[in-house]
Amino acid sequence: MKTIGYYKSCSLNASSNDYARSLEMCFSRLGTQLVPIEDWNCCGASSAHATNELLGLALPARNLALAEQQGLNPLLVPCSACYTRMLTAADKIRKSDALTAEINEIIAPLRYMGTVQVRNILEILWTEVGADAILRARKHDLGGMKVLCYYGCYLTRTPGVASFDNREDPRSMERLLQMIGAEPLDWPYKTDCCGAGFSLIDAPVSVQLCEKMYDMALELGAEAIVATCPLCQTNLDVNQDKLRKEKSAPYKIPVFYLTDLIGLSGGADFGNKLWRKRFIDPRELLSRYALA
Amino acid sequence: MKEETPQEGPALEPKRGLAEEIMAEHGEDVYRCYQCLKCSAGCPMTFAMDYPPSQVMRMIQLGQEEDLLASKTIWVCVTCNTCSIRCPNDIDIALVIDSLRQKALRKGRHPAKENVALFHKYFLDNVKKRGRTFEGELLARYQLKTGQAFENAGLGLRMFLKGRLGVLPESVSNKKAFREIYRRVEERGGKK
Ligand code: SF4
Ligand code: SF4
Repeated sequence: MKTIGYYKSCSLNASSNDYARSLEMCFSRLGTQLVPIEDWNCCGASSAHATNELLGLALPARNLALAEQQGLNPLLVPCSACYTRMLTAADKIRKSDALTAEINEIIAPLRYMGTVQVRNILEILWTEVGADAILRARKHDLGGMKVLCYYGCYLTRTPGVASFDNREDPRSMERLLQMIGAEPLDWPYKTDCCGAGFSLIDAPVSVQLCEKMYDMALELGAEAIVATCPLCQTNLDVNQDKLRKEKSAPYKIPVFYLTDLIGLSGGADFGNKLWRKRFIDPRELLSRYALA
Repeated sequence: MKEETPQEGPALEPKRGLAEEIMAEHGEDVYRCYQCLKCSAGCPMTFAMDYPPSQVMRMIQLGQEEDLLASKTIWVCVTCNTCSIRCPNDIDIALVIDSLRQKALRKGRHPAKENVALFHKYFLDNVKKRGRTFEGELLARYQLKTGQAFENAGLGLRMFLKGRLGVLPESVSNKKAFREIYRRVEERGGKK
């Protein structure tokens, strides 16, 4: 079986461990085993770069050095917030000898040579796993399920680094979902911000940012939203629950990870344990499509 | 008519204001901003800001440092990078705002949004302890300190009720060695 290295990160290790399970099961259906970086640390997103420039580079650099040492290259970073910090650090270090030297003094005895290619989930699916593996693994068709792809901020917006897809109107997630029989709808909010960590600091900000997305989803008749980041998924999910309870809002749109749907198409049996972690329970929708 | 001989004046010192500092430290040339307002038009957080990003750029050009360090803007910017990728003059505005926030902390300025500054501090303290975040502890500390009423509590409480906050912390294998990273960063004042 092919292996790909990945940065498991704090949220996938704890509050969003349902994503880690979804990822690992989905990838094993596609014939790829995910290997976490051993002894990884928190990359500091988003507090380190916000308050201390050097710490915001040094924390990702320790992970990059470990990945390099363990031969995990390219490296999948599933959380978008971690992805942009790891990518920024890798890029800045690669472009400056002075910074490389300074960072290596800070993370010593570890040493980073600057070789690791930081990749997000969409890049890995397209270029490492391959679309053909997704097609070959298909056991179930998504039956035209109407979905909205949500990329959020960081998949396509890391300043100074070329984006793998169009920054303002990416299509790579839609293409993958079409392959497994879903019907992605066009919408204007695919790269809007969900508030990221602000849902922990100041919840109403995140609720306000998400509310318009739900209204649009209802207007378009979408049945689900698909995300790739644990912060995006959680915010889009929990804020509906909050608005339902507090304002009797009508929102009840399941928010999947991309790997949930590709995994289901490949015949992965996630079981109720996974779906119970979600605030908007997707099981009713899934059973309508004979997927659960 | 007597010809004026040019006077020997004091040598002209190159001006080193806020914009020049940002240029030297981060390579971002804020003077390139010509106020097209594209950054502010796309910013999702202007509703909570006192100065939209375009105005921040102008204020930096004019050297209005203290107003900026005391602003709400630097604390409510979520670093979504929308402004940075849209700027026709290729200014990484989000990075410039990061640099102002960092400067406000270094200079000990009172943060206009105390809760945000507190969260960042608690988050980084939490990581320093074990190398990984322990969400339960972080959120408990933050909510106790900010006194967020339970019915108002955000994600943290909901995650807790859903059984998604782990009860046991995890850590890197060598915590002492990990803390060296923090120490060395502090030694350098947090700047490149
Ligand atoms: S987008 Fe760039 S040039 Fe336009 S106002 Fe903003 S910073 Fe200035
Ligand atoms: S990075 Fe900050 S200033 Fe720029 S668009 Fe996002 S929230 Fe607004």
